[in-house]
Amino acid sequence: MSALKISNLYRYFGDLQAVNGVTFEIPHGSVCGFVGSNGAGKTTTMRILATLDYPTLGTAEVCGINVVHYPAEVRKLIGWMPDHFGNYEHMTVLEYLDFYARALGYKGKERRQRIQEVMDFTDLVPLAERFSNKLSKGMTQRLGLGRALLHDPQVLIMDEPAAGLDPKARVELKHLIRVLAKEGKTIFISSHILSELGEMCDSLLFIDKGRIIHHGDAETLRKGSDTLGGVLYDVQVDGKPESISEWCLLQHNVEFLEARKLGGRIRIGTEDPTQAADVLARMIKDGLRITEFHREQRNLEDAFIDIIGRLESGKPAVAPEVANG
Amino acid sequence: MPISHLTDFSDRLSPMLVKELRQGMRARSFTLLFLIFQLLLAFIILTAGAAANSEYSGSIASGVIFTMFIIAVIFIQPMRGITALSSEITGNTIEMMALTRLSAFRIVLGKWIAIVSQSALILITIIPYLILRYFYGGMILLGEMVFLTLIFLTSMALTAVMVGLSGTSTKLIRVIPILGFVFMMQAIPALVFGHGGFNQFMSFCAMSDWESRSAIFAYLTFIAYFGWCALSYGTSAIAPVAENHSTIRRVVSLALIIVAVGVGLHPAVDARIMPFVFGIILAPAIITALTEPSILLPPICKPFLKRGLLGRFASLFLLPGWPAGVFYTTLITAISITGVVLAAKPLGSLAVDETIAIVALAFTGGILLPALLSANFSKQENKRFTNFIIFMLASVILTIIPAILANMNHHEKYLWLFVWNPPVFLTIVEESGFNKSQMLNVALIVDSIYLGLLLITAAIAFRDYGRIFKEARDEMPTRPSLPES
Repeated sequence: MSALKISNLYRYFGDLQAVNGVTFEIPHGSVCGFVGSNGAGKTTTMRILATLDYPTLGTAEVCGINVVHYPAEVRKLIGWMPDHFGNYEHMTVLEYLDFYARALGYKGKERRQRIQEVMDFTDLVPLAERFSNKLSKGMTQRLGLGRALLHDPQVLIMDEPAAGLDPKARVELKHLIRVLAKEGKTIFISSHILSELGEMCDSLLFIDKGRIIHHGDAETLRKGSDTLGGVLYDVQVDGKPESISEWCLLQHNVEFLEARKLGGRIRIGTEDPTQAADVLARMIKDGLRITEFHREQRNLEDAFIDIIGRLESGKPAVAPEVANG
Repeated sequence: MPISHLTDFSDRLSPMLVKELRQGMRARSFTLLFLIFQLLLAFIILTAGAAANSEYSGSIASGVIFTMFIIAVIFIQPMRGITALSSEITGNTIEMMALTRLSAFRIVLGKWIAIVSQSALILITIIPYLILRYFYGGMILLGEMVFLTLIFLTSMALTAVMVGLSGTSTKLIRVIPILGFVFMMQAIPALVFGHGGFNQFMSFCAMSDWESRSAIFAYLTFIAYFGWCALSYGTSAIAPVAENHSTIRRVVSLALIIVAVGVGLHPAVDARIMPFVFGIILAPAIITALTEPSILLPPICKPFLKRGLLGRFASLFLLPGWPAGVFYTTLITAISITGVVLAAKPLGSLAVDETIAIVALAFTGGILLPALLSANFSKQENKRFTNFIIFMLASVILTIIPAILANMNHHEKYLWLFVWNPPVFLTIVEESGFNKSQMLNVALIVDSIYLGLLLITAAIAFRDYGRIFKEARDEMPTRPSLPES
């Protein structure tokens, strides 16, 4: 039985098709990243799984339980962390967690023990007396995670938890998610920062315009969607970066991908290192003053852009290990 | 506060109440109100003491104390409920709560009890001042105690109304009751110091005769009903769509109407008051039934399906959502009309007072027209109530403006152009130039057209429920057990 299973899910808001026939499964104990541009249908799908919204058509199940028919049972299994949630005025962090622990049915010693565990895990102990609405974004996210973990859910659904966090808070959050994954929790997480998802997730789901366009692990995605082949290089020059772009236009098998501060990224259409050496030699010969030239791994953003680009040009999304969609 | 000391509130208390009290007691609005109230009371008692020789000093002191108490608990305290639910909705915290074991009703109830308990605190602090005032003489002890209780119970009901309405998504709707409060506040001086005097009113509150006792009992019944309806409405506003809070509301209103029909048959009851009694019960029941979102999910259908054919028939009236609300409205209105006729003694002797009938039809049409517009032109399901109120306000404005223009120009006949807007009948019913029988017939036709159109709209909307019922029926035999963690 899958931890999360969605079959042919549709959600319409009037004329707007927010989710359009989504189907996927996520096994128990795995971490799955949910990727898509704004308005792609990520939050709607997640809210349906969290029993906060309902499908127009199709089914969604958490640990085999239908979210529409048995929302109360599903809520016991999930921890939900939305992208934004307000905190209360005149309420300390400790009181905030105490309220939710009470609301979840914990009593007396057990309640205090559970709060203590969650505060230790999310490192909220030093903030216990701070008012919950006076916390930084990073602290607020930790508090939100603590709240979501109070009832020790099997499945954690996190909608853009890293949005707006500074690098330090992001690293802390990533660490917490890794620990939770090691504990065997199923984590379904959406984010715009694909590199972070790639590091954390066992699989990635790409959604666009309400449809799943790819489902697979990060490595196969990196390689698999690369229909052009070849190797990427980051070239830095002394002078105008545009010079690389102009130079690439005149070359065979060399493509200029994007401009950077002092240079740009190029793709050489072969994996043979001697070919790369030839390209470098030609650059020097043609007067490009190169200060740095290094091989770069193809990243998830490239893969995502590739897939979106192919879809927009009417081609099918390349999905080497398509599970669904 | 260290975790080991997280025992300031008992586990037996509602989590919502604990939260609200923790927050509320730190809120400046309550602390300031409480302190200012105490200072003023102390000042009044001292002033009254200085003038203790006057024969009126006691009743004047009572009047001032009650006026302040009314302002505090009937005006300021209910106002604090205006953002009770909306702040949770806009802060995105209501969903966090929905995922806990707290039901929507417990959330609303907790919000309400928290404000009421603060009002109770104010009530308790007023008692020593009333005891001191006793020594200035002229006190009708029972009357003042009953009056104090009535004020507090009214405060509870008004707080419930504000908390319930705070679940609406539009600020405009939440602001409307404030205007009502301002209007109501103007009546306080008249009530406490006005014609007949404070002592006369206290004598009435002492409940020395059957009439005053029954009037106070009826008043308490209605404010309890209104308060409960408001809390129930607030519950529906924040509850997940898979929860049904509407059926119980409809059943309670239906039961009250049936009780009212029974009461109306009692020989001691004046048949002339029955239209008003039914009107008071019907108004909140109809308005909420006609403005509910029509979102229906299989879990809501299951209890009806379990009861077989009877359940399917009951679903026609009791299923949440405005389509069933239209059929329900028709049913309870028909029962109420029957109740009014049966209340006439001897049976059937009630000569139809055309004026009352026109007024009743104007009010009924005044609800049906906005409901029809809301049913057909509300794109967002959760905005139906707001749209209904906006259409209703527009209808009232379209009544007032033509009436003013017609009066200024002495062209009352011109109002006939506006009879499609039923509240207009309220302005022309007293005009001498109109034939009342003719007016009654027109009002009846206008109302019938709106009801007919509403029934057709509802029947069309009802057809879509078939798929949901089928899905519910398919899912019924199995109920999953939770996997072990």
